[in-house]
Amino acid sequence: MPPKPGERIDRSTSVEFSFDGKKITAHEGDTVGSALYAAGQRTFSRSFKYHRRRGLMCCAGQCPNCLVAVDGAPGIRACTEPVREGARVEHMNARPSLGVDAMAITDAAGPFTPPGFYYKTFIRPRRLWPAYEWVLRHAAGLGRLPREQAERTWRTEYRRRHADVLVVGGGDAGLNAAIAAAELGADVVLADEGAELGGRLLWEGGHDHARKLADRARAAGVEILTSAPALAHFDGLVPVWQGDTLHQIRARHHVYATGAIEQPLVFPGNDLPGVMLSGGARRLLGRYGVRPGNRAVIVTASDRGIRTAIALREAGIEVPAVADLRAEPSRACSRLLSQGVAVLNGWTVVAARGRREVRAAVLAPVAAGESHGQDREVECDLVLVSGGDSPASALITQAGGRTEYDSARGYFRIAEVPPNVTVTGQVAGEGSFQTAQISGEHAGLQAAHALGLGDNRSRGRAQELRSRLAAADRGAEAVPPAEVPHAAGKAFACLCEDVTAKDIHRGIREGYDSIELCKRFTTVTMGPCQGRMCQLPSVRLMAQDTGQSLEQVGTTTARPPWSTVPIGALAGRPFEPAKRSSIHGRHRELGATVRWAGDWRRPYDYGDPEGEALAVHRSAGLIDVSTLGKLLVRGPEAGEFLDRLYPNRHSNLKPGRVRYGVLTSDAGRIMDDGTVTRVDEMSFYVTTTSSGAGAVEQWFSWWLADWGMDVHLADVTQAVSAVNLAGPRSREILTRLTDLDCSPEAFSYLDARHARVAGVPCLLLRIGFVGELGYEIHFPAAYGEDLWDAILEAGAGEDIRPFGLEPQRVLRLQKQHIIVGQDTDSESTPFGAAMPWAVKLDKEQAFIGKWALAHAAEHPATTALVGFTLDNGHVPTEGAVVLDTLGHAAGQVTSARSSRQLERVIGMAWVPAELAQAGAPITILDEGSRRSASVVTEPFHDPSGKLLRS
Amino acid sequence: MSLDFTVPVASSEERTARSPMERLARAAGASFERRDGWNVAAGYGGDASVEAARITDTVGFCDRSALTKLDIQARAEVLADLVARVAGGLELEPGRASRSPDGSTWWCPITPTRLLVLSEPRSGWDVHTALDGAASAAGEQLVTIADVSCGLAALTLAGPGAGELLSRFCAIDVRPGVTPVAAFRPGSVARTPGYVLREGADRLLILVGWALGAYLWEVVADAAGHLGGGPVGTDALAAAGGGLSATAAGVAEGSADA
Amino acid sequence: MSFLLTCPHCGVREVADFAFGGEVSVRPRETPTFRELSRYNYFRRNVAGVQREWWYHRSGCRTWFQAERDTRTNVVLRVGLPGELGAELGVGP
Repeated sequence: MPPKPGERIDRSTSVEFSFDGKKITAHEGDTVGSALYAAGQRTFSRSFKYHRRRGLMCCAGQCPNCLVAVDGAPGIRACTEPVREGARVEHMNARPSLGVDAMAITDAAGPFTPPGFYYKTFIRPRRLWPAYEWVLRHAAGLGRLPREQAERTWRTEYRRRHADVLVVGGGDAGLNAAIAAAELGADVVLADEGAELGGRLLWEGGHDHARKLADRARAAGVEILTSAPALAHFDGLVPVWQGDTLHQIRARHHVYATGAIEQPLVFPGNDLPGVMLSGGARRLLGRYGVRPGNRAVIVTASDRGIRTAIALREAGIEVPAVADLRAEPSRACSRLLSQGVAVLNGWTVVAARGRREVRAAVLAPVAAGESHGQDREVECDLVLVSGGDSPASALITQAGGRTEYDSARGYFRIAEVPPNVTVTGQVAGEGSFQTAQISGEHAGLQAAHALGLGDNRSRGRAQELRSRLAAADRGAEAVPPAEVPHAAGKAFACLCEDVTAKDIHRGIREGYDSIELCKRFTTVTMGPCQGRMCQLPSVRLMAQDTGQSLEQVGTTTARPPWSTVPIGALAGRPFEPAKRSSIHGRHRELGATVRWAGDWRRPYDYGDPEGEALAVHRSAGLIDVSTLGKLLVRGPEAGEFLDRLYPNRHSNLKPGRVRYGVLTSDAGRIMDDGTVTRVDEMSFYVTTTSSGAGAVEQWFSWWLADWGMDVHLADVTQAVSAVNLAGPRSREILTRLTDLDCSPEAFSYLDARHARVAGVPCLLLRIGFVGELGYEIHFPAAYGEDLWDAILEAGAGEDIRPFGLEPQRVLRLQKQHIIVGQDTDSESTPFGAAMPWAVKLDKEQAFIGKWALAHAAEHPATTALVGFTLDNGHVPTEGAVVLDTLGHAAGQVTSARSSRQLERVIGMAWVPAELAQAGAPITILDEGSRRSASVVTEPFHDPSGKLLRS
Repeated sequence: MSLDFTVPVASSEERTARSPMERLARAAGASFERRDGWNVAAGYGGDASVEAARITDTVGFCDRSALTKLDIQARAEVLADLVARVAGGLELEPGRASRSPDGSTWWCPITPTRLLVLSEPRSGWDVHTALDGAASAAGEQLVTIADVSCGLAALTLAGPGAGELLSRFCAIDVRPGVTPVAAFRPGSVARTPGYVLREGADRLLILVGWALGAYLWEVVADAAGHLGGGPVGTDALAAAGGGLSATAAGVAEGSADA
Repeated sequence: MSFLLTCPHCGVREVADFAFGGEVSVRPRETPTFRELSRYNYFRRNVAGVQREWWYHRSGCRTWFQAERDTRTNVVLRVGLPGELGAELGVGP
């Protein structure tokens, strides 16, 4: 076509890309779709189910017809994808090629593959399902992802943007709204899905106006995002996808100027290449200088089609007939009539004919019903349809807006919006050139006023705009399109999922007669167009079939995402919030196997778990226990506070002493365990399990908030690092590093001492963490590496070894120390877990869990946690079943390990209460085989605790 | 003091306090110097102009984990009295931090009964001592001073792109109109509990848990790279001005109790 | 869920900043019967409408506070520290 003002392409620059291996030459500014169309391509894809040929239809990135793969990435819309030099474009969903598709056989089999066919047919016989599945998996879906993802050269950036006003849609109304709000001082972001601002102005002759508006918006300080579809409205958070950035926009006020979507008509052959929406043809013509066809039949329900006919004729395209569904000619029609074009008022299209492409349209009067007497077949290579404009209201309903059917206009209009949302322009029914602008400016002022901006002048202006809007002539309205003609051939209601009008009728007959059920049964509105092209037609069909009004049928919920977005865009940043101890780097250098433990990265072992455990028994070992939760509880009422939280007593703990404590809920269940140290008269230092640290801090502060006691809490979990130095030689090693008197008399079991170790200020707790003489050393995290090194150095002569989580588990299991969450579950009480000594029911405080524990004390549980041992070397799976004397499942193994030190297999298990006695035989059913074990009720290692106290 | 084991002051010159970001900074080319007992990333490579340009043109990030950080709890009026004794009459208003007159210390109210104090390590010890003195003067009133210097890792984002950089991993609104200089915002930073303090027009100080320091560095370095920024040493940051001054103690003159 | 919640100390934050503590209930003051105890431990009113509930500003100031939220719309009507909201909403089992 000859150059036209307002076109997007730069004819002086050419760009070359390939389509299915063929070289295509395009202009800079072309889309893949416009370039292919200009090169004569008419079939762009094969449909989802019947593998029918599909061609360009909307040219606006809305329908599913032009999905292609670009450089291996599937699901790209050719009609909006800019051409890039050297891009490799390929078709999807057709084998071996677009022209010859073997699966097109399903088109002929159509009557035998209605919706639901898949569920009903492939369910029997069940044993054949794997074979069915293999075939179906290959038949289903559209694109193909490469089996292996190349190292990604791009990834999503996430950007939080706070704004006063977010305007979605950069057409006439949206631009005017953004300008008005920004000029009153609002911080405005405007997002538009197109590559250029202006919306409909761009291809309907308003391009200069659009450019001026865009310049004004920029000058007013509006942040403009183009090629940036808004994906959803989640409680005021609007994700906008742009290139490789996901803008997460949180605005105080939202202006939706999302426009309207031109609707197709449902008639047999309505999916043939060459059947296009009127807007599609106008975009090809106006933006890319591409001639959409030579002879176009136009079928319209509004003046949109009439204006298209005029534009086409100006471009030298023949228009043999215009069918206007409206009974009376509008003012615009008379202009066409005066040019000698045949305008058939009260007529519609009943079929499109052709094999590969359209070659004729069959027109008939709307009111003719079943009689075919007046049908008129018109030869053409283009059928342009315009079935009315449906407001693009999806984001607005997600924001809490409500739609209702407007019978005068034939669509669901927006009836109600939440207070922080304004709608403007065509989506609000103000689509004419005059009203879009007024309505846009008014929306912008309204948004600014809602935020407390503006003055009397701006309020006066808003008033004036309101009266002008009220007085405006909105021109002829669209009428609801007529019923779907009952002719032979497939009439598609949904192009994405290949759902025909018949399929919807069939669904209703099977009882899926509400729109939500129909959606799920036929999958209409669930494809890539997200209901843009099929919501209104399917509602119309359902109303026609059930005799309900459209209002009664209603619409389905348009769920996010509203626009196509790669899964990768939603994946999040490629970083996991991993907690690492201050000694982490050193562990890695020592060859640690690092694994996740809760939200921490921890050394599991240093390559030799058995040797590491033995070192603790024979000489000394050092383990990083910085992951323990650590809380300071301080104040005159701190002792009382802990007495209320723990089932045992802490207020009588003497400064410098340590006591074990288990935390229970008010249901008497074990929540966590750890040590409580009184560091001075006012201050307690509480440790928790590694995974329970956050929960315990929340638990403590919750009760503190409720009780309002004179107590301060400080979480120093990360501020304080801790290591446990354990083994018979640990005292000698420690003595080399500190002035503290470490003799058993001066620093005995369950004592706490302040001292400098290797010059670092430390709190030392003498506790039996792994069952040998040991010291837990707490110190400022910044010295992690230095203190760790100093201790290993001091112990080098004793062959001290660092040990990891796995040897620690074996060592603690040897002492029958429980692991909360491993050996206990949400039903375990301290009584069941063999810790009745940790509960002081005679305490005066109504401590958390007291009532439930008092009840539990009188109603013993049917199972109890005990140790067990196995002789034959088999280590039962954790979770293996413990059988009662009758052979019924009655408990389970919670921990099991083989101990080198003890040279036998040991474990913990819940067993029937009557078997919870030393030496009782139990049977463990482990993956089908029965194993005999015997119960051990005291620690396997050092049962008297002599070593601990040494 | 019974809580000494939380205070990073070693008595041996052999022991060095280290930031959780130390290894990552070293991998990024940092040269370290021992200052006030801490191993500090003073600069990156020989050409200081690269770092200076980040601060003036794009965005730089600087490890500030060595800052002294004190978490103080007391009843609101006790807290106000305490601060008045140590730093003079500063406004304590939730959401707004105050810098002590000599510029060495930020006083950041978290709640009416809780305050985070930030100071350069050199002046931090004096602030701590002065606060201890003032707390004992509070008599019967419960005052808890927890040294969380090693509880919070810290980064300064400096340069015209500081706000944009923060927006890549934090949902807190730091537009200047909403979060002006000295605004203090507790909230999620990089999906983890944290604090944001606007130290200056182009300068944001962010703090998260110590054990997440390396993770924070990874996140910030990645996002800064996309914006053309990179790490800067404490020397370049100090040369640009606008942060805490390390020269004087954060103690007001005439605070006799200290 | 991505609504905003106002912390009484820190102001408006994304809801992901907070931990949910469930609806406000009252712990028995005297030793309860077993039935009362079970009710307190296991039964919730679970209203479709405005309820008073506990929230914890986990990522911020670490304060527990209460909010009155409409469970149908996530609109938060009021927030306050414990004791600040008065007793007009029926609480407890």
